Amino acid sequence: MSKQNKIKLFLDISTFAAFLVAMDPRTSGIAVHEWLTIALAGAVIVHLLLNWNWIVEITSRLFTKGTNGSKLNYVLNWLLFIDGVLIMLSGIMISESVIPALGIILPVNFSLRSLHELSTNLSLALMGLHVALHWNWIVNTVKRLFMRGEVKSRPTAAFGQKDAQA
Amino acid sequence: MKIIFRIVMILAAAMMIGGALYAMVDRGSSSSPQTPAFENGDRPEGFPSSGEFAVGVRPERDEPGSALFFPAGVLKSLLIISIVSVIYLTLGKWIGKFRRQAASR
Repeated sequence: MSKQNKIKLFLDISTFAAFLVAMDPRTSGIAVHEWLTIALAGAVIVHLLLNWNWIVEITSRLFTKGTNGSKLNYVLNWLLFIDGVLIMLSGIMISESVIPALGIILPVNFSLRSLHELSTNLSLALMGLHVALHWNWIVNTVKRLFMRGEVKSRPTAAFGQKDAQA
Repeated sequence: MKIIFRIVMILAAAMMIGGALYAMVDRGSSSSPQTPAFENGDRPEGFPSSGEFAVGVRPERDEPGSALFFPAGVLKSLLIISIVSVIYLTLGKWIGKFRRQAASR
């Protein structure tokens, strides 16, 4: 198993765990919720950098060839990215810990708060689909990591998709 | 250098999306024909009638005693993600099976 795959797996698992904690500000408190989400944005950038080749490859052949599954995966990843930006933007605008700590006071906006909650709920569904599309990769990588033997590779995602990596 | 360029590209994409979304939200709220209740001076339910919120406290989130349900939010999120994943994977298997059956006919 390559070192990069190990890094990808550990980064993805820890990002996923942090995402779950960030989704529950009642437990963690607003300060942890906000700082953790900013750290998550950094983790997402690293996640994208690690999968950069896949992004470039799929983008270049988006309108030519490729399976429907990989196109669906590509569109879903963009939706997840847009939703993430929406969460971050609305979160910054209603921030009660990070932005005031920088000495910036923003007016209270209830519509942005609703938007933040709506986009957060949407991210759960998108994350579910993202995990499902990469389920076989996750299972195969975990098996390779712990079994240390050869694991027969299966198609990496549903709908016969073979090139789901990002 | 290559990595910095890629990071700049990711941030530029995020900024463009963020700018577009902010413009949409801003235009949507300013062109709204009906004035929201809170802009008329009515505070939404659950918000204090006077003064500012205490720092680090959101009234709709930090109810007293909510810490008792420690992992409830985390488990709820995990459950929703799992349900969506299982539905997608099951659907994918069925569609694959259906396609194989149709191809073998």
